[in-house]
Amino acid sequence: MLSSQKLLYSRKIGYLFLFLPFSILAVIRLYPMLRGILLSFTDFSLLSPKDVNFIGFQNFKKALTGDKEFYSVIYFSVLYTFSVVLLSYVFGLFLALLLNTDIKLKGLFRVLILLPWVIPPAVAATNWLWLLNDQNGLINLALLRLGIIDSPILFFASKEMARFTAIMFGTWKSMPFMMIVLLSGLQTIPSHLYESAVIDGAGVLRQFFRITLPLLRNVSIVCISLMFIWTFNDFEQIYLLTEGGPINATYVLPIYSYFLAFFRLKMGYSSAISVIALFFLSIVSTINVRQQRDNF
Amino acid sequence: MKKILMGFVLLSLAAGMLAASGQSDKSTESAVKELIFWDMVWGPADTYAEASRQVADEFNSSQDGIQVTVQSTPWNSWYEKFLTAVTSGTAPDVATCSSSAPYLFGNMGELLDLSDIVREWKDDGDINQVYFDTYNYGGNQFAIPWNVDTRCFYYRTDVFSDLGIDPAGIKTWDDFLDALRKVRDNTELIPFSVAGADNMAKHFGYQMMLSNAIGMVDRDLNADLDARANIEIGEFYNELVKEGLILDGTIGYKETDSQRLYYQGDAAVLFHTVGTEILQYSEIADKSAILPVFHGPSSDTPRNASFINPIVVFSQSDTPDAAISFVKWWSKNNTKLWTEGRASSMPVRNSILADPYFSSNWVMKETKDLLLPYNASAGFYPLKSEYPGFAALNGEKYAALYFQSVIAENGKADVKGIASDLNEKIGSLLLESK
Repeated sequence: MLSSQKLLYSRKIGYLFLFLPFSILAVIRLYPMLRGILLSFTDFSLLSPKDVNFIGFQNFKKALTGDKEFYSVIYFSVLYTFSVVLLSYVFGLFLALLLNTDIKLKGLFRVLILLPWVIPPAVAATNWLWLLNDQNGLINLALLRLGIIDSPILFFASKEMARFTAIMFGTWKSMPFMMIVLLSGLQTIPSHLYESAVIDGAGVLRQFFRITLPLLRNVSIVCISLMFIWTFNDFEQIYLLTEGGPINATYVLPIYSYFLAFFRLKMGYSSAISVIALFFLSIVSTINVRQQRDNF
Repeated sequence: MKKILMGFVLLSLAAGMLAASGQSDKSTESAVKELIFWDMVWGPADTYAEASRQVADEFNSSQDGIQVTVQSTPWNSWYEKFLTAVTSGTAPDVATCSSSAPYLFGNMGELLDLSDIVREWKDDGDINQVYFDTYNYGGNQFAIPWNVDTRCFYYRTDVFSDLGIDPAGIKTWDDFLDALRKVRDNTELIPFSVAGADNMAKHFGYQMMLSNAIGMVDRDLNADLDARANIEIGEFYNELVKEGLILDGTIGYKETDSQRLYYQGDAAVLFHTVGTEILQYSEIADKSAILPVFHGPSSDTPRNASFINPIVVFSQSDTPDAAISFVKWWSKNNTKLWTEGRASSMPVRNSILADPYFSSNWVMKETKDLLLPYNASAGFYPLKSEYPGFAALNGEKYAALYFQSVIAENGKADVKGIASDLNEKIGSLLLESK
């Protein structure tokens, strides 16, 4: 047992150790966020950085009521986020279920499936651009040689195809994370539950819906929430793949916010767009935290 | 624990004393003015950075009063890097930078007016006035031009020769389309390879606008995309796709995709940046050349899209006179950046262009002879320099959006409708920036 003086001393040391990382976090995380929020209430423009005026909620009013582009960007941002999260969850779960069985070379498959997650987005996007090219791309060449298609698929030539391709790329990149988290969740489910279910005559589907899915609920909520936030905030993957095109069809909120800040030079308005995104994502985070609190 | 804490205190004191002694050393050498020079990487990183250092060393040894330290600055995130430095008060004294930087930083009051240099050099005629004008905003010369990045149409000499196409006879868009039709009808080649998805598509748009004597705005800064000359450009794009002169996938091609088609011998004409890079593909380079500049129906003057790149002096500099002296020296004595550093652009100074290096291969020779005399600043026409709102129109690639919107319709585009829609958006962006 520590004496009360020693306990107090060890606490002080503990706070001292906490102080440094907390200070660093405050500088690199908290300060930019607070400054961003502050800027969203101003007319700060990069052309006149010394002439900044407080304009209340005008930026927010403009975004929500007078900016048609904002709504078109929100449309694709939401479509992209929901599609990527849903598809990566479904494929991730499918792969996790496969890898949770007694198959050979399980370790190798896990490593291979994890690759998209660890490859830097710039490398991944460059490779996919080459793979999907209509003249030289491996995918089109293979499909043509196999006689599956008569003419190359133009993956980036229309708004719809570019959106589809961006979603597929996002899914490919996100799915390994889902897979690895869900696999860890699957491994915590006691095997005797399945044994009892088999004895009771439950089939594979019934076992999946009555045992696997309910027991994966907590893990699923965590990984879906995290993936939702990451995907909604995703800038580089889409920008590297399509640059927001063709004809601005794949603009997402971070790209729009970036363009507003650095091309239209409207830092204040751009910050307001980011604050709206922050507000939206805070709702998702709150739901996530509440769900977790209710479940534990 | 006390010993450890005491150790920390002593170390801190020692560090403070060391720093203080460094400070006093510096103050004793204050007679020498020290300059920080950010030089972007304008050529291959391995050769250019070394050449840039050598040029600065030559300056340092040419006099005793100023010492320049070069910091080679990569292009990735250059914009954010400069912006952060400027807004945080840590800008360099002198910098080479992108063509869009002087307008932004000049209007922020962060650049020195270098009009005196222009006045001093005006009569020697070594630098074309068009290049100076690019950085003159309302009488303030916010930058000195030093290199020019030019766009061009490469073509296959063997194909043109076999088909009896005389490149010198291509003077108008119609002549150009006729040449492409001949390629389409008589070979298996893709007639024309051009990027549709990235900045190169935007540059193609600027090229077409310059060659038809029109811009995105008129002289009074009103949106002008629905003007007759711009509609003609849209119709030209429509012809390209309708007649199968470009590939259906063009809208999704980035610069590298269009390059690849040409370099691997699949295309007859390529719109691209002039550069010695093509020489690495000797099989294609040996049978390639640059097309002379041609013009559209609304223009009788050939103009070629180019990006004139600047050197600037930041007003945060503690030693502005030294910085200006360096810029003047550097502008006249940087031939090594090309001859040793292999800078990819061309110098704006005729005296430097006279170096035999710039006639040592066909790319540079033809650029010098066929393109430079017709160079105009891309994007600004009919104005001479950047205008309010250009950063948004350029950054959001409105010239590329026009190209994309037309070719996306597979030859059935309502050109007037597309131009009118985009014109409205350009109008609101201009209004926002006023």
